[in-house]
Amino acid sequence: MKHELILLLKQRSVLLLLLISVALTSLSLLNGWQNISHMRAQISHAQLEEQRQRERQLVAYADQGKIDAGEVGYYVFHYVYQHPSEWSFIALGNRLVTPYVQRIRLLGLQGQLYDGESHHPEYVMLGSFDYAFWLVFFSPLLCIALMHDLKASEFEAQRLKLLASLVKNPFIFWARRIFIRWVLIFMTLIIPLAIFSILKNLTLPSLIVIITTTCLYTLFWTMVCIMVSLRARALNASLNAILLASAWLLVCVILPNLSQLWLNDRYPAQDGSQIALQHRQLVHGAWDLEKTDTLNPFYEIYPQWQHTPPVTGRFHWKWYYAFQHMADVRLTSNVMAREHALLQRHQATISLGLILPSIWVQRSLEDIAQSNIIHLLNHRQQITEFHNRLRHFLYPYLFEEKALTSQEFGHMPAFEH
Amino acid sequence: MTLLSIKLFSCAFEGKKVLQSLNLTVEKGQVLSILGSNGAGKSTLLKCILGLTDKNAQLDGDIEISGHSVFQQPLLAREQLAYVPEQPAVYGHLSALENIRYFLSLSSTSQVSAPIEAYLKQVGLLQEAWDRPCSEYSKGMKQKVMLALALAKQAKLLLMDEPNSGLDPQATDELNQIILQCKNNGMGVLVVTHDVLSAMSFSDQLYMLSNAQLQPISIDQSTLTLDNLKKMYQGQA
Repeated sequence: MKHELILLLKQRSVLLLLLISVALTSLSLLNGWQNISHMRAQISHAQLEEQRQRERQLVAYADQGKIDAGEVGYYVFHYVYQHPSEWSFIALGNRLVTPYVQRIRLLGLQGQLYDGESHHPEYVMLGSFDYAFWLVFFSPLLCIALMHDLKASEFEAQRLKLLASLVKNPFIFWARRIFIRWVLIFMTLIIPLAIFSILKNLTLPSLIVIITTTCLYTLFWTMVCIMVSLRARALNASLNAILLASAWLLVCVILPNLSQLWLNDRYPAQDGSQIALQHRQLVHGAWDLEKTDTLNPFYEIYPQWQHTPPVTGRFHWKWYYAFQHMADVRLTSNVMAREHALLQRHQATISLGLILPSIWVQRSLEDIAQSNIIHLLNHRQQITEFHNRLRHFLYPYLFEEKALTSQEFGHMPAFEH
Repeated sequence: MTLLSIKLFSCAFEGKKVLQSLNLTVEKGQVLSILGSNGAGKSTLLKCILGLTDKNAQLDGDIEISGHSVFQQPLLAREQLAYVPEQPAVYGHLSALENIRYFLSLSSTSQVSAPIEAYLKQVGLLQEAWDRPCSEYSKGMKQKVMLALALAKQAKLLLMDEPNSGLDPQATDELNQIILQCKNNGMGVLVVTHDVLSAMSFSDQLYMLSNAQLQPISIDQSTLTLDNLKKMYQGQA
């Protein structure tokens, strides 16, 4: 084993390749960490800003004495945060294209929720250079570079007969050569990862899962390389490289993209921005409707507010918040259909992962990083629950036309996740 | 002591006989050379002795190395021999010492009787070259590395494929001396070559492989004329 290692590492190109792998693995971790650190810093900054704002408002409202609930609903913003998990840096996933800080008011939720969902085309096209991206797309190329010419290089150097005359067991000979290459590739991936997790004091169970995922994925590509470069007629290194590069293109690029197209076609989902637009159109349309056209359906849902003081004048907060909410209600089926389609896509992706290792790795790492669609939908659910709490807190003041005291204002719900 | 014994050995591919009923023995301390035109089957014979025949080859007869059949007991048979290919297949990025250490690690020769340096000295490779990458070596120097490997492996039988091709006269002479040294050390040597003059200088017996058969040639300067050789190569003698 020692001599096999010397044979491999004495090749400058191999050493360079392994060093590049260590450097790029480290870079992918650092880039992911930097992205997440930026998110954390922005969240901290927003939390501080929210606290300051709330303190200023408390002072202002204390001076004012009585506070109009309608104005509170309109002018007071509540910050909701999508906190990155400990291992989010490993696979940024949906975090890059969904807002991690949002300002929510008592207005219609769906318009606010999907307002920030305008996908950055560059991110959608390329993804971000995080560990998952490096592992899924580039580690197979590393395996191919080191294993495409196992037999062919010996044949081309006219050494195959000599080796055959020397080796005791060809199976053990090739197994040892492959094992050393795989171990080196694996090490260039997991050593920076392990060092990084120690330096950042990250939890061990997730690290073990990531290492296992890395191990299985690199083993898969090692098996593909073995099938191509150790087959009976694998005597042409260029041909092997072409075959393996084609396999990479198929497994890592073409099939996942075709799967994505198929999923989009099989489970169509409205764009979030479309929902935001529909919400805006409903809200704008509501200004031109008779107030009763909005309030009657609203009171059917919330009969407890039906016998409160009547809506009078050209503008009334009750009517305003009712049509905001009714826009949400009218879009409920669209939102549910969208979420259902996203869940179906997620389930189908899990099934696809059973046959496509690149998808399996991406999904597994996104699970650990909590950056998959399930976590996104959970976060949306948390925001919806918070918005409901906010409505239920302010509605009594709004509909019974009571003013809030500054003390009551201080008890307004806050997003706690 | 018989080191190589080829008994009524035939080899055919898709019905076409490449080697037919060959009989040959190489004794301890004996050097045999096989001449033959391109495509006569010399390399096929070497492959058969190494036990590396194609799966679709039809074989008959047997080849034994120190009593072990290359087909029945290939590992035991290969342990007894060392093979020096036409192109000395050393790893260019390794030094002579590292090459020999690596190749020995593959073979069953776990213990060598002397330091590798001693074998490199024995084959006459200059000491200043030992730690240099073999990519900087001439073909003759690479041949010496392969021969040092054969000595370090303590092989009983040495198989050499066109050892003199591409060597200058001085390197050829040095190589011939090493072959004689191996013979004097009790090794059996089988050389496949085109170089009749060299073969005559170190061989105890010459054979011509033509028409799938081995014909002994007398090492007599008077009978081994250019015309006779031409006829032998063309299978007319």
